[in-house]
Amino acid sequence: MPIDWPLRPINDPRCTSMFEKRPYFVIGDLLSNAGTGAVVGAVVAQLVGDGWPLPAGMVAGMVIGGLVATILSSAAALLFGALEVMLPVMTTGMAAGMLVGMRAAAGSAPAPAAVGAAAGVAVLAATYILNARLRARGTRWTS
Amino acid sequence: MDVLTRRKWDRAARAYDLVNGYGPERRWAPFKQRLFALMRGNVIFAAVGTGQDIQFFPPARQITGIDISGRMLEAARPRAAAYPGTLALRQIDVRHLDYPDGTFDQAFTSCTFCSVPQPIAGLRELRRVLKPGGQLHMFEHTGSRYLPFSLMLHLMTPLSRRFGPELNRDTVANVASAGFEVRAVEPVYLDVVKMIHAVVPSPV
Repeated sequence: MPIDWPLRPINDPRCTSMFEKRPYFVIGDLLSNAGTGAVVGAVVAQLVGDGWPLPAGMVAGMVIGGLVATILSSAAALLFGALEVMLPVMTTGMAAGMLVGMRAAAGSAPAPAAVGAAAGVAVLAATYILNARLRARGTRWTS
Repeated sequence: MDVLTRRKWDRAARAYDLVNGYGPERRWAPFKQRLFALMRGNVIFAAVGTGQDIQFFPPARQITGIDISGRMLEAARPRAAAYPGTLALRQIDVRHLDYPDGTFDQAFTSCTFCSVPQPIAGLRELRRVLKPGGQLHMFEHTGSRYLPFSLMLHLMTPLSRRFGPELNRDTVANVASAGFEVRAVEPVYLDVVKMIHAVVPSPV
């Protein structure tokens, strides 16, 4: 039996690329994160009231955002991938929820859906960059 | 055979292709094709499931696909029948294999050891049925060392394990604990989805 050590690199740009470049998945990631952020922003703005203590608004927003994102990420994962969708979308839910929750508690929450969507795009960009850094390190050879 | 685990995956078989068959498989396709291109000799594929991965197997290989769930294997049979090579399916628990020592040249897994209870016991069985110098190639998702992701994966595991996999395992450490020599870990997505390559140490 031939032993393939070291592994031969396969010149497939889908495997060697640092960033996801397939348009279907890039667009799917954007829609999933921006859409979840927008929904979370709108929901949290409705539920967190003006005059709440700031920490309470932040925590309530994070919890509500996490719950909403769990449901939405389950649906988006069917179309666009499992953990590649679940991890950024749930992070988006918590981040957008915290942000909008704090703003709503402070009595300043214009365009909560847009703020949530922007948070989703920012979280997605951060995960793309982190993923590219990890993939750029390449295979970790242990021997 | 572990009846509880078998029943859990029999239940999961009903919706397995719906949940995993489109988005996740399309996303992972190039990486799985790359991994399975390494298939050589007599191969055991642990947890073949509904056979979603068979489409990525290179042709003309000799493969034994095992799974604990009879329902999963029922769904896999048409895919196995269409495979242009030798692909036998068997219902058996990876922790209690009945093959003699050193039967196989290679073992492959695909999202397997997130689900096997007592994963080190299962990995030890795979090591036993591999020849000295035999190879283990895995496509697995694991826990993360990055706090937000690690927290989420830990929080979700008590729920996810009721219906499917655990999300917070350290499979690379488990492979080493089972007596394999880990040769390489290739990142697929963050530090969560990865390909692990290991060998059975040859006797000195």
